[in-house]
Amino acid sequence: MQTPLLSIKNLRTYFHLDEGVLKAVDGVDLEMQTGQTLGIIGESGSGKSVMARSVMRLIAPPGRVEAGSQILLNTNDGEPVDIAQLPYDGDALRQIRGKSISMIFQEPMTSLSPVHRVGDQILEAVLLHVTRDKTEARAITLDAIQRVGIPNPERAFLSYPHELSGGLRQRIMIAMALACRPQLLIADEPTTALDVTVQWQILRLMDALRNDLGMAILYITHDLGVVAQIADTVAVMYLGQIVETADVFTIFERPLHPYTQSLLKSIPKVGAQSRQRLEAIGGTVPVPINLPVRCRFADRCQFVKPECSIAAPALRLVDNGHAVRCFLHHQEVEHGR
Amino acid sequence: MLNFIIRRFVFIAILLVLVSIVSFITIQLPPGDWLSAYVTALKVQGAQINEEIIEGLKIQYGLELPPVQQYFRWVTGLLQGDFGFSFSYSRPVADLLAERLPATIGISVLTIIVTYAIAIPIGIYSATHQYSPLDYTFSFLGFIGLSMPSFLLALILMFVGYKYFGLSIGGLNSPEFIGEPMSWAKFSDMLAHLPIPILIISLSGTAGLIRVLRGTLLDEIRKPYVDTARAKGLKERVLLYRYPVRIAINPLISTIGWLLPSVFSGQVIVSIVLNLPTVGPLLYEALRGQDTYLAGSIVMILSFFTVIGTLLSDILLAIVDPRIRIEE
Amino acid sequence: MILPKWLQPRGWFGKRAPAIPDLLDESAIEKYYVASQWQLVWRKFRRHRLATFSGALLLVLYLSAIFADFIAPYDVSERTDFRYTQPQQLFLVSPSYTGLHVFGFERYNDPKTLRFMYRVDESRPVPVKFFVRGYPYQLLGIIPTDIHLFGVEEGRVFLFGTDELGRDVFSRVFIALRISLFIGLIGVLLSFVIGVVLGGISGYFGGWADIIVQRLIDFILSIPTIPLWMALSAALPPHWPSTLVFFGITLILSLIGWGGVARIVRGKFLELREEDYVTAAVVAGATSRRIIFRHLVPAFSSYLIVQLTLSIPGMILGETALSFLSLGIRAPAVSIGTLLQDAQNVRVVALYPWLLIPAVFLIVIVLAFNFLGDGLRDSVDPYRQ
Repeated sequence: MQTPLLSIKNLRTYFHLDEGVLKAVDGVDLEMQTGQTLGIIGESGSGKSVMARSVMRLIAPPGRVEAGSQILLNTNDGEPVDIAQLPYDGDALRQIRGKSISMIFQEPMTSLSPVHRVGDQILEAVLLHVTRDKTEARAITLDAIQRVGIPNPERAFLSYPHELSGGLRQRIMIAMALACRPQLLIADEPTTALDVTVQWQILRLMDALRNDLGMAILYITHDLGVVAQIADTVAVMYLGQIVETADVFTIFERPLHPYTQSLLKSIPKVGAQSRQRLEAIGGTVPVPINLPVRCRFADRCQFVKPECSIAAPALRLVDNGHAVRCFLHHQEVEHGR
Repeated sequence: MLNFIIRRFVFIAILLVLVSIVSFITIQLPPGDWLSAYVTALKVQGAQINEEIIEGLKIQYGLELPPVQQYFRWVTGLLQGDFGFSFSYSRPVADLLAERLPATIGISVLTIIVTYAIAIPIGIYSATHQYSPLDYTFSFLGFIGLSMPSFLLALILMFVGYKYFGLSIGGLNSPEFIGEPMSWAKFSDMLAHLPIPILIISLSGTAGLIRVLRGTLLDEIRKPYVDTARAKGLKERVLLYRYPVRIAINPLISTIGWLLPSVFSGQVIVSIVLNLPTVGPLLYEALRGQDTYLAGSIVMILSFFTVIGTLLSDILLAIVDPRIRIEE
Repeated sequence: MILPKWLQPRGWFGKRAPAIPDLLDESAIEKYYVASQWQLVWRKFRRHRLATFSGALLLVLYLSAIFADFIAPYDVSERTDFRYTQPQQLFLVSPSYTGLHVFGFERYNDPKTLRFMYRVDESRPVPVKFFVRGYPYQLLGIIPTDIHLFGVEEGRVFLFGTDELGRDVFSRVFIALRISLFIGLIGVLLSFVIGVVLGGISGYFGGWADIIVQRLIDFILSIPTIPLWMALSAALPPHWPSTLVFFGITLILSLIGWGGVARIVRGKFLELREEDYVTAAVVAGATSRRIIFRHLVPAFSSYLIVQLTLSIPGMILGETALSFLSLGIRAPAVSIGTLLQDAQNVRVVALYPWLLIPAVFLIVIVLAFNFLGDGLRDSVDPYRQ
C-alpha cells in the first residue's frame, strides 16, 4: 500500500476550562489516501468538527492539541510533515494552510468577510500560494469561480457576499478552497445550512472536482444521507473517539457498534410502515469532562454488559478494514488513555 | 447611493426645522419676556427708560405678535444671519457667537481626534489580549472614565493642580495673554493649556469607545470568516488587521458624528468649570441672566452642528460598508 | 434604524467559562436543565462578585436614602457656628475614654492667616450614642419621631465635617442621596414609559408610524443633551416650590432621555418578532396574547432591566450637573449636585477637601450601577455561554 496522504495518530484536543478538562477529541487515529473521500459522522458534540479543525490547527485557547498527537501530512515534496509539531503562525504551517490543505465551513454566510468583494477574498489565497503576479492570480481566481459552476465569473468576482445566495456563497467558498489546488479538502458540514436541492448540487460538484483535481476529501457531517452519497470510507465518532470505521457499504449494511446501529435506525425510510415510529437514541451526549474509564456509550447502549462499566474497549479490526470499539465484538481493553 | 444621500438631506432639513422649534421654545419658555426683564434690570440700576424705545424694541422683535409669527420672524432672521440681540452684552448675538465658535469647534474636533487616537489602539490591544493584566487595567480605568462626570474630573484636576503643583488649570491662556492679539507666544501658551481640558472632555467618550471596540472586536475575532482567512494561510497579524479590525472599526470611524452630541455636552460643562472661551460659559451666563436670544441661539447652533455631523457620518458609513446601502 | 449590533454594549468584567453542572451528579444535571429562567439568571449573576457586591451596596444606599432622616444626626439646613470644621475621627478606645466616641474641638484664630482653625481637644471625649433624640422628623413621611441612628448628647458630631454655613456634611450627603438616587430611578422609569409606548407603537404598527417615531428618536439622540437640559431647567419658574422643581427636572431629564430606551425597545421588538421560536409559536396556533406574555415578555424583560440599570447613571449625572450649575434642584432641597456647588471654588476645596466627600458618593453610585448592569447583562441570557 502506498504511503497515506494524511495519517493521524492518537490525536487529542482538550479544552482546559475552569470546570475541568473537556476532552473534545480523545485519541483519534485515521489514515487517508490521495483521491479518497473519508466521511466522519457523529452527533453534535461528538468532537468531529474539533477533530477537523485540529488538522488545520484552527483550535483557539482554551483548546489545545495535546502533546503526543501526530498529524502526518505527506506533501508532494518529500518528507512527511507533522502538523501537530509545527510552530503556530510559523511559515511552515501557513504553507500548508490553504496550499496543501483547504477547508470549507458550515456557514457560507459568515465564513466570508462581509466587507470585501468575494473575488478579492479568493485572490488573496492565490497571491499567497500560487503566484505574485496580479493578472495571473486574477485569471486563476476567475477560472476557479468558473469551475464551481458560477455562470458569470467576472460579475461574481465583483460581488459582496450579501449579494449572493447561500448556494452561490458556498460555491465561492469551494472555489476559494480549490483555487490553490490542495491535496486535501476538509469540508466541515458544508451543506448543512443549505436546502436539499442545493445540497445535492454542491455534493455533486465536490465529487466531480475531487476526480478532476485528484485530491482527498475529509467530509464532516451529521447527515447519514450525505455520507452515503459522497464517502468511500466512513468513521463514526462518539464523544471524541472513533467508535467504528469501515467502507461506506459495510457501514450501512453491516454496522457493528450499537451506536452506529441506532444512528441508522433513526433515518426515516421511504416505504416504511407509516405507523412505525422512528427510533431515537435515548439520553443525550454527555459533556466530556471528567469521564470515568469505561465504555463511553454504556449509558445509552441497549446491549450493555457488565464489563462495559469497568473498562474502556479499544478500537480493533474485526474484519478487513472494519474496526469497532465495542466489547460485543472483541475483548480488547484500551490502555493508557 | 445618490438616492440615499438625497433622502438623508431631506431628513436633515426636517431635523433642522425641529431643532429650530425646540430652540425657539427655549427662548420663549422663561416666564415673562426678556424685554420686561431687561427693563426691570435697567430700572433697578437707575436708568431712565423712554417708553417709546421700549415700544420700538417690542415692534422690532415682534413681541406683540402671536408665538407662531414670532417663530417665523426669528427663523427668517436666522437665515439672514441675524440671531437677535444679547441684552447682557448689548451686542448682536451673531457677533458673540463668531467670537466663541472657533474655540468651540476647535476643541470639539481635537477632542474627537484624541478620543479615537487613544481608544482605537487600546481597544485593539484589550481585545487581542483579553484577560491580560493590561486589559484588566484598561477595563478598570474605563469603568472609572464612564462613571466620572467630566465636570467633576475637571474639578478634581483643578484641585490637585492647585494644591500640589500650585498651577491654575482654568482658561485657555495664561492671564498675561488675555486680551492680547494672537501671537506665537500666545499660541504656544494656548497649546500648553489645551491638553488637560481636551483629555477631560474626551474621557467618557474614550472609555465608551474602548468598551464598544473591545466588545465588537472580541465578537468579530470569533467569527467564521476569521478562520476562513486563517485557513488560507494568512499571518495572524495580517489577518487581524485585514478582517476583524477593519470590520470592527468601520462603524466606529463612520459614526464619528454620533459622538458629537456628547462631546458638545461635555464641552459645555467642562468649559464652564474651567472657564474656557467657548460657547459653554456664554450659554451659562445667558441662562442665568435670562438673555434668551443668546441662549436659544447657542442651543440652536450646537444642535445644528451635531445634526450636520450625523449626516456626514451616515454618508461615510454607507460608503465604507456595502451592507448599509442595501438595508436602506 | 435598529441599534447596530456593535453599539449594543456588552459585558467584560468577570466573564467566566460556562457554568456546566457537575456531570457526575445526576441531580445537578437535572436541576440545570429544568431550572427556570430567573433561577439561571440568579445562578449566573452570583458568579459575578463585583456585580453582586455592587447590587448589595446600591440596596444599602437606597435604604439609607429612604431612612436618611433617621441616619442623619442633624437637619440639612441647620446652621451652626462651626464653620468648615474638619471631619471628626471616630475612636473606640483612647487614653481618656473607652467606648465609641469623638473628641471635642475648640476654635481659635490663626494669627498668620487670620482664618478660623479648629484644634482637637484630646482631653475632652464626646461619647457617640445610638438611638438618641434629635430634630423631629417623619419617618417614611408618616411616623413622627425624633429618634436618630446616632448622635451625641452634648457638643456636636461632624463625621464628614461642616460646610461654609456650619452645616453637617454627613447629614447633608444622606439627605441628598434621596434626590440623587430617586431622580435616576424615576427619570428612567418615565423615559421607559415614553420609550416603551413610542418604541412599541413603532415596532408594532410599522409603516408611517414607525418612520415618524424613528425620526423622532434620531432627532432626540442628535441633540446635545446638556445644553438643552440647561436651557429647559433654567426656564422652570423661580417661584416653584422645591418638590415641583424636582418633578420638573425629572420630567426634563426623561423628555430628552427616552430616545435611547425607545430605540432599544423597538430594535428588540423587531428582532424578537423574527425569532424562530416566535414563528414556531405562531405556527402552533398560539394566541397573540399568549405569544406576547409567554414568549416576548420574558425574553424582553430581562433585557430591558439591564438597559434600564445602565441608563440610570446618566440620569443621575445629568441632575448632578444641572444642580452643580445651580440650574437644577433648589434649596432647601439638596442633591449631590447642590452639595458640590460648594466645591466649585478650587481655593476653598484646597482648604477644606472634605467638601468633595459627596463626589465620592456620586462616583461610587455610578460605578456600582455600571458594574451591576454589566453583571446583569452577562447573566440574563442564561443559555449563552
